[in-house]
Amino acid sequence: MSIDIQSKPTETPSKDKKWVGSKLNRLEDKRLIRGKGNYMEDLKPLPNIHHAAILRSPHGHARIKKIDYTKAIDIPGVRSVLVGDDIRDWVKPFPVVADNPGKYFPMAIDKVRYVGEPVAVVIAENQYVAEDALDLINVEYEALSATVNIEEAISEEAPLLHEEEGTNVAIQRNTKFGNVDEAFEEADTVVKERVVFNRFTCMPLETYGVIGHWDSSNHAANIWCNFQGPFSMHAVMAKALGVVPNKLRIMVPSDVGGGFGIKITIYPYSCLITLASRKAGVPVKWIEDRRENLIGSSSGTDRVTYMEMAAKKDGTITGVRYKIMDSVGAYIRPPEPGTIFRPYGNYSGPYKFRNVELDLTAVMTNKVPTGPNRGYSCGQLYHALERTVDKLAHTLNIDPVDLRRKNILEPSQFPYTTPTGGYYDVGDYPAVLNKLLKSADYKQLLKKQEEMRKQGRHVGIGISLAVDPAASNMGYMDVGTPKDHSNKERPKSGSSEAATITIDYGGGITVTLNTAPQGQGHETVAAQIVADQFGCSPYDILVTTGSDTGTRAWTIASGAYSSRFSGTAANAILMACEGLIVKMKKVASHLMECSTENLDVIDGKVVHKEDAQLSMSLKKLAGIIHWNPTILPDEISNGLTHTSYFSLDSVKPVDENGRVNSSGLYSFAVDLALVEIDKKTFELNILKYYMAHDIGKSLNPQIVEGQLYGGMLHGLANTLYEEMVYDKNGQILTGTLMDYTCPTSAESIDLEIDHLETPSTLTPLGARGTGEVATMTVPAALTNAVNDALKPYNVVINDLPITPSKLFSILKEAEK
Amino acid sequence: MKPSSFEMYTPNNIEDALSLLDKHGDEAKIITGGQSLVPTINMRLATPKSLIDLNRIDGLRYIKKEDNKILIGGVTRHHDLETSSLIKEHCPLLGLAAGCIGHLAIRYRGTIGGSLAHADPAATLPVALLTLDGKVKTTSVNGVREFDAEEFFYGIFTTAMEENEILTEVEIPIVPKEAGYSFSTLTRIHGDFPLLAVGVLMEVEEEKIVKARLTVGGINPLTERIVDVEEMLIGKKPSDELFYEAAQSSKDFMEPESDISASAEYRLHMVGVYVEEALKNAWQNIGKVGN
Amino acid sequence: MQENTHTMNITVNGVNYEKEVPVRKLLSDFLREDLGLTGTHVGCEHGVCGACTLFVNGEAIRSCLMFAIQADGADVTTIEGLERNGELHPMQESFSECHGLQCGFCTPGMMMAAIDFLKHNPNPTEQEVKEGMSGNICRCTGYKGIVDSVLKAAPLISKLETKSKVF
Ligand SMILES: Cc1cc2nc3c(=O)[nH]c(=O)nc-3n(C[C@H](O)[C@H](O)[C@H](O)COP(=O)(O)OP(=O)(O)OC[C@H]3O[C@@H](n4cnc5c(N)ncnc54)[C@H](O)[C@@H]3O)c2cc1C
Ligand code: FES
Ligand code: FES
Repeated sequence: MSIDIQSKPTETPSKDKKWVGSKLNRLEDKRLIRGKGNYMEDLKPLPNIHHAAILRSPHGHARIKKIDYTKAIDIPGVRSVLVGDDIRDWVKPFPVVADNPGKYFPMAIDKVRYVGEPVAVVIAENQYVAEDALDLINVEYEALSATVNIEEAISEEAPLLHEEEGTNVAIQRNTKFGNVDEAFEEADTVVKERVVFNRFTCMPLETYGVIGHWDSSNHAANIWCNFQGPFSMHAVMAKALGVVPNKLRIMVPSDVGGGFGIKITIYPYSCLITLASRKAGVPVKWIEDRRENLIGSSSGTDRVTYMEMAAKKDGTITGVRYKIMDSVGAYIRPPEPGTIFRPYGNYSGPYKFRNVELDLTAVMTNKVPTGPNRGYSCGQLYHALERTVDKLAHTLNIDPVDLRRKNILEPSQFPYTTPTGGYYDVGDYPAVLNKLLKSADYKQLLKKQEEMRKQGRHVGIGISLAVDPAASNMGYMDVGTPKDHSNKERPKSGSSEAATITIDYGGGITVTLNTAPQGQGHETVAAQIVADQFGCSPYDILVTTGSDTGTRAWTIASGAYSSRFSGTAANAILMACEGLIVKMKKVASHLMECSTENLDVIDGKVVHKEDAQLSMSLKKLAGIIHWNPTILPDEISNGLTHTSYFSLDSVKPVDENGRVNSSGLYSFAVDLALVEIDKKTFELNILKYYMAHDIGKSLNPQIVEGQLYGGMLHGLANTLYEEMVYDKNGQILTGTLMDYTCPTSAESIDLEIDHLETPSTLTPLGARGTGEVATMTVPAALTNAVNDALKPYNVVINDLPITPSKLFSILKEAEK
Repeated sequence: MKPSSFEMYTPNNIEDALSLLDKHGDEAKIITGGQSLVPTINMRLATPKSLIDLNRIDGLRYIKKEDNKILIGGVTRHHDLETSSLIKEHCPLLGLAAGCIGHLAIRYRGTIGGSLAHADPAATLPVALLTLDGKVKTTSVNGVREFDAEEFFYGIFTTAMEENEILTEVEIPIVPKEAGYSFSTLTRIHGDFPLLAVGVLMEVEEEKIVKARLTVGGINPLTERIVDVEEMLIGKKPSDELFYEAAQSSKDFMEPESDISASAEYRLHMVGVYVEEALKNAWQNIGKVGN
Repeated sequence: MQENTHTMNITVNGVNYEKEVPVRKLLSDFLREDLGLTGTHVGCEHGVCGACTLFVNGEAIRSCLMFAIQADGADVTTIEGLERNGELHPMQESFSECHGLQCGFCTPGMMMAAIDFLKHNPNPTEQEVKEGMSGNICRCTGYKGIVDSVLKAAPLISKLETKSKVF
């Protein structure tokens, strides 16, 4: 007997129950569990594909004196070698929003500025031979001193990465909202904290992969790559490659092995490999290896934050000053320096305070350039904010939960516009908090902690709150646009997505998306939405994902990033269904000779509202439209394809006061951790971990849970285990998985998860984002819990990762 | 990350292997499990001209008992050690140590000979070999040489072996039933290379420790027994205080360095914790060998 | 420089192949490129991530740490070989039902390791699964779905008739 698991969904919605909101086995699993996925490395879309190997800088900072590749080119099987000199006339620097950006090209031209920077590309008939040739390229360098530490890189004495800029500060913006200075002058208490966030990468298991094909006859580029969007990067690439937009075609396969933001910044390599193709005259494939990935891919920024928080005696927070310094690495890789602007609208988090000062700096260092990394700088933000809230609670001797309760937004304040321009549509934050406290039995937990402390155990409770921004506004970067920049005249906005649905002559439904997912289950959720609209089974629907900018409908914002599918694409899909249904009703009304108002779509049929006997199957209707269009009235167009575009209206351009609603949707989350530091080994044991969320309507609870667990693991990884470490010369010490130690199933933790569903008022399905929230809350909750455990010893740990070794030094220091 | 070119020889018997090795000298490398060698070849940190694969040689993979010794063939897998009933009965510490190596997939392929010949200072099996007072037999075209564990390891990735030698056999004296033992590792991540590995073997007669062997790996460039501490234990009555003292003294023989995983101070602290725990465990284990 | 090759004979998923293979070619690359079995994924090529795990002569090993020609004469099972006569292996079903995969990149290696783990421990506790599966990295699931999948598959596999067991 053949068991087709896809035909036995875990839950079958009944008549009045919908597919949306139910748990069902994913459509994409069908191929993935059979090893029949379609990943970048599996593709062979063209004949005569050659393979690239990249020679990378061994220096953190050096001038390139000479490159000699004569020996390399002599190896049989080697076709060509691309070096910086070749690309001078072929590319323009990537366009960047920053005051002193330096020039960023896909490879080093005169200077290398980080270990791992591409210096030469060998193009050969296979990967093995390409790598043989790398060994024979001789590069003469003049080593320069490097700077890797954020605060040092800012100093006058620091070596300059881009001499022409005269500074390593790429961009700095200081903006005040409300009456910050007044708030601090009038405060009863001001607490200050320095918080350090480590450099960390979510490191997808599948590395970058590119097939670049330069079409010289058309001055066009065709690129296959495991890019995840946003397709605004299409514009960045087109500009760099010097092609008009319609001559740049980007194709992403249906399966991408994880992205987490890292695959947004694949585009420098997409360009590099296309340039290699231009030089070699053949299509070129490059699959990044893990070492290249750990030294030359993207990571999140390392950050130093100086926090100041003003408050009244009773614990009311009146103002916050953020002084944020991010190390963006050796170049500004767009969408960087988004790291300092991405949370613009939610810099005040879930709190009521209206006075905020943002002092935001992006600093260049001799490290690999950064890019978005799950939670895009919100992990950093809430780590600093929630640490400081805890410090305030500690200073005022108020329970951290009570302090937060006092300061979080009340339901009556919604819709709420934050001091920095964020627009939170609805929410009941206290209810979510209460739900968590109830599940955790907070009072009891405090008692338990007291008892355990009496036994001499280092036990801590930590809480963190976060407003999770999703569906980023394409215009948020404009807050950083230099004053004299021409872009000021062309503001940007929106968070849009497209979907196309076709019904074929047999009634088969195909959904075509350009969302380039990396495991988020877009095919499944799309099928759920469509199945509800047409009253059919999701397993009968074909969903095409990945992307193809040459043949599909897409928008500048398209892609799977910023937790946006459920708030954007899902709505475009719904609208496309509605478009088709309108048309089918029109056809049916003509054939059934009744008004469209009297028709409904139920169980795959167009049915007369008053007379259920009077119906026509969608299949039959589709057949007529395709096979016999001439019987239809002229005003009904041929074909059954509908493309819809959805854009969130709330994400407008930056306003005249410099405020911006940087995201379309905002979820809310509360985490609580109970931890214990082992007194002998100083290992951290996470005894309990609770989460409560309001992510709006959950379209598929199983996928939501999967996202929360996945996000948690990345949070756990960067809080306790993972760090990209550089020495003072810019040498990276974590270039293999032996050194960059990823947590395994043995380190993972169990979560107790609660939900409160307050549907979003901004999206037809009521959904918001969920994919990144746990990565934002976990570092803060765990750091707070550890510090609570350390409280009796009057010491704090404010830098990550929190390792047994660090806890040991801190506690030993305290003993002295 | 692809290997450079090489030739591969697959001898069917040890004689052929030895003459191939002799012929190719330092241009050849032996491959057994490949679990340490292949990563370095893939990264081109090693670019041997030839590999001599010992996996097809019958008679290098065995665990047998002879007199009061357990004899183990050089190409015996970590997984064989971990699951062998002979080892469980006569020197369970070795099975425990093998079971601590990486993951099952690594242990299926990795060999005792490869691990000992590779001599990674953080490796697990050298700690077991030293603690168990084992011997290593190497063979070359010039004949067989035998080393006590103490003589075999020289330092980071270096041993007493010549380039034309194969590690053919490991000999472990049978551990008396009355002995107690312990083996433990400290890792950052489950299955990762240990930051620290501790092996202890102890015999007690008339309430006095008559034999003690203690090895700490992962800290010093050369994994060694801590003979001074062993001597300090001998003749004493086992007690928590004694074990604490001994553990603290062990630290005097350690020269840890700070690196990205941990500070020197933390490592030293953990030596104390682990040695104390190991001694206690071994003591509690007394008489349990083979059960 | 002529690529040095050897001729080898290998059985993969029940099919016998005779192939001339570059000596230095990794087993993982050989299966993917020469046999088109792209279900075996490569995530690190230094033995740590486990994505390339597959069965050689009944043992789940890292195919990135083995040269193809070392598998001369061997019987290999890759992810593509789990489905027998149109019937999915219980591990495959469980992974889908328990949401044991998201991007699916770790999944083939993960399932192979899981089947092998259950061979040694057919009735594991949750903690045993967590430790036993720690040789395979997943960056998407937080491991929860994976652990659930393995626990769910365990009794189903025990019940399988021996002849339909993969190993
Ligand atoms: C993910 C991972 C985790 C690991 N974790 C651990 C761990 O926790 N603890 C630990 O100890 N090890 C660990 N290892 C290493 C593992 O134990 C290796 O198997 C072992 O170190 C080498 O054995 P091998 O048979 O694989 O040798 P190979 O890799 O084949 O060879 C290693 C070296 O020894 C030489 N050699 C091999 N066999 C012989 C012989 N018979 N005579 C002479 N020379 C020989 C080779 O020429 C080579 O230089 C890990 C490896 C991996 C990939
Ligand atoms: S690819 Fe083989 S273990 Fe990672
Ligand atoms: S499902 Fe993506 S790595 Fe495991």
